[in-house]
Amino acid sequence: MLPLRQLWVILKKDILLELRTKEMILSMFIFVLLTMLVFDAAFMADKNDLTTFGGGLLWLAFIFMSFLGLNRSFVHEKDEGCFDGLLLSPIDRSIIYVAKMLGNLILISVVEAAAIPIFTIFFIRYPYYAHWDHLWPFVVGVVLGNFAIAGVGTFVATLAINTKRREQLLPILGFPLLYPVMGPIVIISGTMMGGKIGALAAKQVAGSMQILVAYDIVFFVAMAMIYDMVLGE
Amino acid sequence: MALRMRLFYALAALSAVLTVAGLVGAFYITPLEVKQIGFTQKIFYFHVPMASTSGVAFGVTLVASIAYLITRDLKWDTWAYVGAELGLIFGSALMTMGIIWTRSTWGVWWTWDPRLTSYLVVMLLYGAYFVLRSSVEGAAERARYSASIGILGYITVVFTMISTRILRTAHPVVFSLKDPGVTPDMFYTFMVAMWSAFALFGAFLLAKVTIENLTEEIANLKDEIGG
Amino acid sequence: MREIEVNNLNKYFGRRQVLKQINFSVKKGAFLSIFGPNGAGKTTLVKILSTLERPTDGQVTIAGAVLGQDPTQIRKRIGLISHSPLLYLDLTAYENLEFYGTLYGVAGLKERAEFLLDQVELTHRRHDLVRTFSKGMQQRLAIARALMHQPSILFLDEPYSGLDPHAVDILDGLIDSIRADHTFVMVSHNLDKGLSLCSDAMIIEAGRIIFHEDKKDIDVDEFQQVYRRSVRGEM
Repeated sequence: MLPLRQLWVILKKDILLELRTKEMILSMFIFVLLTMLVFDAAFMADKNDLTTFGGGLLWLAFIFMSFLGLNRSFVHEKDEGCFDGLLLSPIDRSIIYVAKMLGNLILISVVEAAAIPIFTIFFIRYPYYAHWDHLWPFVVGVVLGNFAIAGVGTFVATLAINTKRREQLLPILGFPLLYPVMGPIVIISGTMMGGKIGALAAKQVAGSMQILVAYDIVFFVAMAMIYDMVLGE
Repeated sequence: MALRMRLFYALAALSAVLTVAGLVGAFYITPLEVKQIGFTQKIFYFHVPMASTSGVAFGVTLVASIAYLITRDLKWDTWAYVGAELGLIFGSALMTMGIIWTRSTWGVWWTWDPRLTSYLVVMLLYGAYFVLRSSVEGAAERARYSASIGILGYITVVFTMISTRILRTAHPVVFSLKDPGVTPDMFYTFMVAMWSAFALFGAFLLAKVTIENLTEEIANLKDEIGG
Repeated sequence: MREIEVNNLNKYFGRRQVLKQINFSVKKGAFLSIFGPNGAGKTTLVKILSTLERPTDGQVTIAGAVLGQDPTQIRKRIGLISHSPLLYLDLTAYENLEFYGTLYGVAGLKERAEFLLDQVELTHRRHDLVRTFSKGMQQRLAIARALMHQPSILFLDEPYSGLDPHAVDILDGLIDSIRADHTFVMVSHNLDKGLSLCSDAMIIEAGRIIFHEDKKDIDVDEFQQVYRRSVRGEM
């Protein structure tokens, strides 16, 4: 299967480059920690437990951290002219999209995996989501959220890198496009952080999951389809 | 061009007549709604049509964006951004009315109600659409990039509507045509106002697209004579 | 047999027309050199031929496939050497070749990469990061990269710019060794180089072909005059 080999070789290349340069992962991680400092400044976290706002704060940090990294994901390709090299090769454009998107998804998830325990220690006094029945919906929510962010982010970053505004465009365009998943991921993460889940909360979590899954599928398919047309030839 | 101009005049005239009729209907014919909110209910004769019209406008952007990606004919790009522009204009009118109504009825200028929130997101999204347009130099590239956002944007609008309705406790529907309290007067006035807004939108759309085409033509002629 | 055939090609960037009614063909095994002042549309033409840019209208056939119908088929057959090397600086020389080779589905990847590294005299540096290479070495590797999938048509966009004399010799040698069974289209400002290599020469000015002839019919002095006038006219 040539398309699968092409997908894998681009993904492997991106991971290898990141492991060698550690260009994005370090700045993303530091940025997330810095955001947490701001949370402390804003809420005086030493006196209060921030579980009530936990979901929102977590994703506030994650989404901006993701934008920071996503912006860099095409800089390699563009600055060294390699994107033309990719486009010249006999490869379906949607494969390029999926490969770059998976690379970004992995990167975001790795940084988050390191950041979530730190966030918990800093701000959540009783981390209910350390228990399995809270943990798995929490993790599923995070993964679905990351999928949306990496999907939209990769697409918009491709546009942005070819414009004169470059880095500015990703948050401006990416945030409103991602707005429909903001509510759902915050609700899922926030609910799982807290204690007892009431009937209403459970219903909201279920609704959120449905929206997330639907959004991920619809956007992923739509973006993979039009990626080719957007890149042009 | 000639046909388009005739259509423009027809729509403009229709809109003028219907708007006057709608205003007369709203303020002189329809009864005062007494059950819930009283006089401020009258804003809905114009508020709801504005919302529908801006939805149609962004729909024009969606359809024209798809048409551009298929045909690569730049005329569709013109239709797409004129649609978005009008969507933003009607959206601004809508939100201004909404804010006035919110203040007079609920006593606050803003509330994070699903409709208000959705519309704020939509306005920001299409605002970003124009930021994107202004940052691309080549016409074909600009058309391609903005077409993709024209498509994804509309999907986002749909998802935003769904998600805000599911996740936030929706406020009661204040005015519904199915309400037994709605008299025939009210129904017809509402319909007249609705069509006046659509006609106005149609006229604006044709006028603006024609202006853009003429501007283009002038630029081409200037090129030809070497100006 | 014609490898490249261009009929009534037009290209607009917005309202600006950069290519006007371009018509020409390149026979299999020919070497076409394209000259012209900056901004004449040469690079755009090469970008269209190499499937990186869409023509506004007109028909282009490359290696028997119509452009716009089956780009993958065309992409397999063409290679591009441009002034930017299209290499990842933080991959090694070998990894770069392996990467592109896999994208093209090259069979016998390892042997092909080793063979080309030897040809461009980089075998001793094959496991070093491209970042540590000199400009000349990067260009040599770029040549190997473009040849990985054994393309039958090669597009050369200013391939000599920024090359040191050693790299020029290697590129000359490589072109010479594959000259017989490949078709070349080269864009260049280097009149002597372009003329000595080519079998056909073309001058493009302001998006139009103003000169296109077989080399054996060309009077070199006259050609140089046309070229100089065209370049000066633009400035």
